[in-house]
Amino acid sequence: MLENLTIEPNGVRAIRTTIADLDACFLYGFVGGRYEILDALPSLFESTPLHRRIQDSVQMLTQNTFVEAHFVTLAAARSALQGTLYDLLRHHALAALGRVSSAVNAPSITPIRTDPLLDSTREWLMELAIAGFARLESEAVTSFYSTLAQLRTNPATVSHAAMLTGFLHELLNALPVKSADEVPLLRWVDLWSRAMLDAVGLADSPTTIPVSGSLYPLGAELHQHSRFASLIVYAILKQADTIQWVRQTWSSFKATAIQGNEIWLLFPQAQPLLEHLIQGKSMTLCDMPMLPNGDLLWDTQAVESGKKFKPLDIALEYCGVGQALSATPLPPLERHPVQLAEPIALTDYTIQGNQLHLKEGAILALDVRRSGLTQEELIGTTAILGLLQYDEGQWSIQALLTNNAAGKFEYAGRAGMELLKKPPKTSTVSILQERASRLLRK
Amino acid sequence: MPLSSLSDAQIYTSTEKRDVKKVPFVELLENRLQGIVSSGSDIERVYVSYFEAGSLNYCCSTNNNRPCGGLRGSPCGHLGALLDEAIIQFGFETVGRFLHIDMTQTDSAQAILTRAGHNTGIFAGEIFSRFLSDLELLELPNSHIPLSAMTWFNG
Repeated sequence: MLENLTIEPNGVRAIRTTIADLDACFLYGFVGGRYEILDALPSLFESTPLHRRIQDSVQMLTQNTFVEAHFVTLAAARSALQGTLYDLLRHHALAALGRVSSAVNAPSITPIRTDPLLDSTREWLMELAIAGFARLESEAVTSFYSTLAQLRTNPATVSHAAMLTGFLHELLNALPVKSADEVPLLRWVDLWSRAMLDAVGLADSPTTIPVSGSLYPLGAELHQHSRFASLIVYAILKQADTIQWVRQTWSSFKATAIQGNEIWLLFPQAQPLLEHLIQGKSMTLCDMPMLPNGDLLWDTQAVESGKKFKPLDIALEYCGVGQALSATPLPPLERHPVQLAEPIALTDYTIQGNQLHLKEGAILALDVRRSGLTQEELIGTTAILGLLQYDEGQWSIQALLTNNAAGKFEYAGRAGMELLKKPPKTSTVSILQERASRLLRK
Repeated sequence: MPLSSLSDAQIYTSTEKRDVKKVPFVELLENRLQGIVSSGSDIERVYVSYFEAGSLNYCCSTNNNRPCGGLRGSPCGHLGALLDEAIIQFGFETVGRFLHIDMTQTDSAQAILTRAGHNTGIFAGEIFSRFLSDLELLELPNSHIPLSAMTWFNG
């Protein structure tokens, strides 16, 4: 089954080419630029709800009428293309894994509130696009500092602030751009589009569902840039009649000097769950709030310690190829191939170079860009749980959990978890927190 | 041109431990390696120090805009500490490239210091406010909601 994974589904190549053509507009910007792709765009969206809007916006953009609504249109068009890729690729991966996508009845999200800070955000993003990433000047980037600082202080815009803080500093670090070849164009237009759509307005968060049952934590990873980190814990949730793959995220801003394993010290709230993960102990949930696509919203009142379990046995039983695991897709606006992360548990493989060779013939690359177990850590292991991911037109596996030669299990991020379990008396985090409270209260 | 959605930059992790008591803040920004160095004697006092890329001209002053007494024709101990900690935080390669140093000729912080230019005499108080902004990030509340936009920051 899994060997079908590497066959590229119909349509993927064409969509990726269209995205690349559209992204080319963002390299040198929109002033005086004539781009064939803009003329072609409306026909690609014929008979979709975006068609009329794209037609209007393209007409205005090619006449150098720069209004942010037209750039929102471009972000929406691009997001629709990436979302279609996500759907195609996810469908393909689920077929190769022998799973069916569980339907979600997520209501469509409508932005219900605007915010002057989000208006400034769209303005800033428009200015970046007009200038073009290869021609950016630092003043155009730093002009956003004060808006960004305000976005960070509002809990309703933490997601915007986390992403924009990373994006702004990444742009700043890359300036001056010496050659257009150095611009990570796909990545920057990804970030630009997502930020632009997120800045359209604030929506109410979807209604949570209370869930009860056994939670088997199976892995964890960090997402981070110099000023922010997210810790994500992955688990199997066994309710009365369903087995579901779920996540719990904790996030924190950080001072730039906090790096490496010390980042885990930012998440003391995660300690009980991580402790269970390390020990191979389940937790019993009683009415824990969960979002429709499988994200728990941790409530310490809704959880009790449960029984010991064997992590790889649970992983193989529920995440193996052909197992009917329920995994829910992301909300439409968030769909993008980079978000694909289907859990997959495997045995009967060998590690050869940076690849995992399965006995039945399929070959999967080991992910090298994300924080998973490394090739060295996987040599000699006999079972693995990872996330199936897609980037640069290729599938790869990010390994979260495996067993070592002695038959014990090993986790990605173990060193950080152990540091958090026994925090040192002084750490970069504690020293800077102390410094902050002294200097900022003056 | 890179066609990945993910970041290429491997986040640098040193085997050596950063001394944040001594140097709580260091950054490579625009044309300067800059940061904050604690005073050895007075807990209330910090030094604001920087090197310029290329020329390796430098300056060091207190956060109250008084010149550093240690600057006598060559970089003071604060500047030396700043450079050492920058190398631990970002890696020797990154720091060297940022400062436009010929890496075939230079292999240590000490070697960089011997190439230093002159004291610019221009105090850079704005570095202190950047340090305060960096510390402010630690005072912001944590969140426990999913943040899918952070997937791009693969670390």
